[in-house]
Amino acid sequence: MTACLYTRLDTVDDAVQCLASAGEDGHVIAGGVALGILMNERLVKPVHLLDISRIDALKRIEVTAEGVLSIGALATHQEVLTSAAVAATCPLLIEMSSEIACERIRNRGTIGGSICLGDPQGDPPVALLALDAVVRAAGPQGLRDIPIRTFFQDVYTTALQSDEILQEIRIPRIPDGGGMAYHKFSARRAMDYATTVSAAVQLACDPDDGRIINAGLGLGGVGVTPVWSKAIADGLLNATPCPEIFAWMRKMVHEELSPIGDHLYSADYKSHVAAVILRRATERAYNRAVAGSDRR
Amino acid sequence: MSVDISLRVNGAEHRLAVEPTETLVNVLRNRLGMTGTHKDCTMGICGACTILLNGQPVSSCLLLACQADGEAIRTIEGLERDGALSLLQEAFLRYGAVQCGFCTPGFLMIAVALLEKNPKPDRNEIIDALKGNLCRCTGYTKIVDAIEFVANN
Amino acid sequence: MASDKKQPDGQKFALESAKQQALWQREFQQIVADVQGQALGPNWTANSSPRNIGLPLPRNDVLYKVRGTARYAANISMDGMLYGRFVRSQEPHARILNIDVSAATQAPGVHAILTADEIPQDRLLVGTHDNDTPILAKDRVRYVGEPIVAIVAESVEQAQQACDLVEVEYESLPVIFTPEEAIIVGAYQIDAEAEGNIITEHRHDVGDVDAAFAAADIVLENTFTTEPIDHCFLEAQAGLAFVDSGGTLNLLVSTQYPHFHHEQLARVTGLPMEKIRVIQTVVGGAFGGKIDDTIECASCLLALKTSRPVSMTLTREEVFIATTKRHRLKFRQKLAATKEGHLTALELDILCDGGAYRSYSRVVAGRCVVHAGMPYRFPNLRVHFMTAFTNHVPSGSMRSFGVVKMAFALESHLTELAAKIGISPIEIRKRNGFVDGDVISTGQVLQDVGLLKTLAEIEPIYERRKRELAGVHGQGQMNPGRKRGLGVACLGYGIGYSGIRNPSTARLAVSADGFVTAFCGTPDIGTGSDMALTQIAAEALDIDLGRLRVVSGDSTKTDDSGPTSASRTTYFSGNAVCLASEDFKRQFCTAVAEKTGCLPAQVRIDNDRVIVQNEPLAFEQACRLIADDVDAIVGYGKFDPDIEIDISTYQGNAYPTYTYGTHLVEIEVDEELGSVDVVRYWAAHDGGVIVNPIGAEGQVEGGIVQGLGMALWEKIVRQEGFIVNPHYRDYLLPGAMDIPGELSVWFVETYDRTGPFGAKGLAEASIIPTPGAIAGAISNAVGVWPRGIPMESEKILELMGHYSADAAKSATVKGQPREPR
Repeated sequence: MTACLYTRLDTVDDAVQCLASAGEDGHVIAGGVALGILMNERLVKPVHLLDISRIDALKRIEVTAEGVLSIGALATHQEVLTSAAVAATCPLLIEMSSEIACERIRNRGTIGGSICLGDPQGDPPVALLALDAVVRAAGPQGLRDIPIRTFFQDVYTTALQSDEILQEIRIPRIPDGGGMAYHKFSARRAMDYATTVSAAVQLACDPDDGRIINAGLGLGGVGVTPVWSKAIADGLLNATPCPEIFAWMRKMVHEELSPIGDHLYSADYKSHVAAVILRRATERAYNRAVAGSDRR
Repeated sequence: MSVDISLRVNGAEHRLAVEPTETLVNVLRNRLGMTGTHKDCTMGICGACTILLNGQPVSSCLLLACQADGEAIRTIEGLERDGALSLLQEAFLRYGAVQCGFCTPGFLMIAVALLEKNPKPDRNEIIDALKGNLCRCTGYTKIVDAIEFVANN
Repeated sequence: MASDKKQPDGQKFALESAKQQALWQREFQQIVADVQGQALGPNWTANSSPRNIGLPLPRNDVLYKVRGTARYAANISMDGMLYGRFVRSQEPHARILNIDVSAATQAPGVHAILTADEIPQDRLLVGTHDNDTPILAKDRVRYVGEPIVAIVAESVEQAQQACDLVEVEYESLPVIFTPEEAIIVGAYQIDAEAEGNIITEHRHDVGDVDAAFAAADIVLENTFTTEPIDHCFLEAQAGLAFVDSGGTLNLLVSTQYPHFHHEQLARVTGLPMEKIRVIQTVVGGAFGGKIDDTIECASCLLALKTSRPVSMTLTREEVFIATTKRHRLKFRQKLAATKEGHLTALELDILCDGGAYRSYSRVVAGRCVVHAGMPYRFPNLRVHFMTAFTNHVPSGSMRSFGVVKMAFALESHLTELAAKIGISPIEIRKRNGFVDGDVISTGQVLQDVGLLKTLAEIEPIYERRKRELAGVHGQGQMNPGRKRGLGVACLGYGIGYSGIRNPSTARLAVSADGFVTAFCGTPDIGTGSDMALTQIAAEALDIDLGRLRVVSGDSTKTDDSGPTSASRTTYFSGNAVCLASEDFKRQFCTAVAEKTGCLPAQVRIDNDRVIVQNEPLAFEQACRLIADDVDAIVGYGKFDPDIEIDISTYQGNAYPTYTYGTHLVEIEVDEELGSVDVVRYWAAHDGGVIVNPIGAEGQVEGGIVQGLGMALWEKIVRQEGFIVNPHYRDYLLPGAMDIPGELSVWFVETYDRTGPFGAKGLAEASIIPTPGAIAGAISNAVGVWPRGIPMESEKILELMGHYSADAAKSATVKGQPREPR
């Protein structure tokens, strides 16, 4: 049996240092949900496990003085789901987190782990794309901020360097009068990993005439990475929801996205579903914005 | 390289040396002889290996034993009180919530966690809590009935 | 710590001492008394008779299952135990040129490596009905996942690592992935014995079908398809083989049929029958999937080779890749009826993917042929059923043996016919459903048919919901874009093997302290059949339930009574227990009479007492009285109804009795996405007298939810012979959130004159109507008829014309074919 090394780390600095010295052999493990599956499937045979799961500094969820919602990379999905700070500032993340697998997975899986995996069907990346979040990474050269919209680069490939550790996710202050919604389609109502298409929408509208003045959106399960579409978001600006705008959105979804057909659904059907649920999420987000309250 | 760890399982302390890649379910079953926690998909999907880690349900097939070092673990073997079935176990028995029984340990642990957090869940909350555990025999209805009975008593 | 490292005794629960066993017995007696006292059953009172049949008793095995001390095969360990793993084929069809195990031999922890070369040719092949499946592939592999080498090592990980080091050199052979290709003249012959690649072919022709179609007012004709399904029992196949100090080869194994393995092992090992013992462990679900050889022969050969206990457990991925599946079917169904809605003819032409070996293909075919048209009267009927070899994992038995797929088509056409002539889907079934005295296509006359009673139970609910939904839709109370629909389907299902004798036997023994043990070969596979037999025995003997223990599924302690399958255990073994009880009572009363100096006729058992010349004795008192003779008392019963079908004419008695039912489902379709939610479900069953209502309800509910998964999502997907979704992640089972919010099950009052206390069987049957009922409901909601299952959202949407998939979609399948590990 190949011997595997194990190091438990207590601080981010130690983790960065250890990762640097472990080099290619280092495998960072947090909640172990994704890595655990890969190890059990014998697709990954770690040589040196760097356990960051006990770095308390990375578990904080707080709202900064500037109104930025800062979520430590090690916050579990369940902690995000039940966080008062998140509920007060960014209910989209609550709605999204409630859709992640089930509680026993949410109790170990972390928001940082989900982003680092870059799974095109993961829930958190989709919501964070809509929210225009910033990812803060710690590396040998110090901290680096990466806009989430440039973070997902290719199939399970992110902008995080191999010597960096994800430290926190920063979500800019949501202007008042905003509305957001997360919508997920899956074959079953029971938890589904393989077959989901999801859409997150964040909108703000002009209190006087109801025009959309700010829009962000993310889509999951419709390409090799989680997808952010600037074109569609920009097209919503100055519009109000109406059949014409939705028809335009549907056209854009079909043009902009390249979902991959799988053993359950064709690529075309996924595009179709993406267009439908993006519209539903947009309608719901808009209604919430107009209602002046983002509470569900 | 083996790692020395200590596990508090159902209140009893176990000190042992584990390989870093050993999962908690394997340690419980193979090292501690606690085979009440079952192992099936090893991908965190079926829920048969659900245990409580510091009171929270987790999949023990995805949790490395060394990550559980020093933590409190509860398994199905810890549900009885003085040899008598807990109310939840008795409800599973009486309501026909168990057929082949292979998924039962996972469902019991999920139900324990739910009822400790929310002693009076309604039917929808119960179903939502069970959504990540698979059962092929019962069609779930009687499992929900059993938990609902405990919630109402 | 592991408590059963010593030689396991075959006890299914961790009962380490006689004291614990006594505690368990007392605990159970207490629960029985509680339930009897509370009279939970609607019709049960303390004085009612019978006292045990129909009582909603919990199961005694569950006392262990909820404690985590039930001994599933993978939970049992022994000192010196080794672990086995397989090297499996990575080719769908290939010649094996060379197997290089040299590196594996050197791998750490390895104790033995087994290849087919070490097994004599006449011992290599196993199988339930045809010995055609090699324990390990020799010279040629026929499907991806076929076992080639078995390795035992000190740990599972070491065994797996050694397996990874085995190099198999292949030369690819022509591959056949569909039965259509398989039966083309000149196709590569997959099995040496099977010309034209045909595993089994059946023809059944009754009446004048052509004339009936010519004269018909209405003819419906469509092609239907079904996909392969996995059983998805949560416990993978597992077993532990060891040779005990007396030289007997023991196999503790999760199985539906221990005697089958016993007989196979005798042939495969060359050991005499009495030197083998197969003990069924607690089974974590089976559904027809634990009735073939998987780990049994290999683990025993390795135990003999190493003289060490050998434990083998399949991984979930192996269960998906390398164990039997429900057959993939494609068939044409043509149905004729009069404009008054009387069925006149049915024609079926069925082609089935049998996979690489025979397994239960013939059994599935035979049952489907007999069940063609059931449970309706078709004066004219023609069936052609053919199953062909392919280079896929073998297709085998699964809950209902294929009848659920036939019902999907038949019930779809019935509902469609009702709509065409403007009557309700209930009415069409009432007009054509079986009643007492009807003759089925094999010439058998039916009796004790409860079908119309189940329809009568469902009809008022159907009419009420139909009115309510019309109101809801009419008044725009539905969410926009969502439509509700109702669907009805029925079932008729034969109990036991199809058209061949399949006796069951039971023996009853008593101890001096007043405990009675029923020995029965048919094992409890998680359904609660032991509990049903306990109740039947208690009723037949008229003693307290708490005195009874059932020993089942032990090939040494019990006689071969066939497998627990085909819904046969309650009916066949229950009848055997009843017969054994009569024999037991005769012997028991004679023994008591001898001791007390009266005539046997003056002794009888009554309400847990033994009445001797009008003087009551407590049962255990009577047992103590005859303590010296109790060992000699063995009540024996054999139930062997006269079942025989002449396969050339398909005439004869197919089954001793039949179970019936009617299901009603309400679904909601998302018109934009095509997705289906099952909202409400009602099921009425005729299972004869119900022995245990909790258990029976559980069987029906479980079957409905399995049917729901099959109807909407479940399918094994293959690409070039590789299964692309060998995990729960990609193979979608229903979860707790997918079950209907309302799910009601009724049992109509019927009494089967041939059954134990009027009982039939019902375990499998509840899966049968579900896909057909859901199809009808989809049509009712959105006006389209899906002709294939699963009825996935994409297909429904396509049928609705709201969306059209690009023809190129099948070209893009995610990921690469997976290699088995």
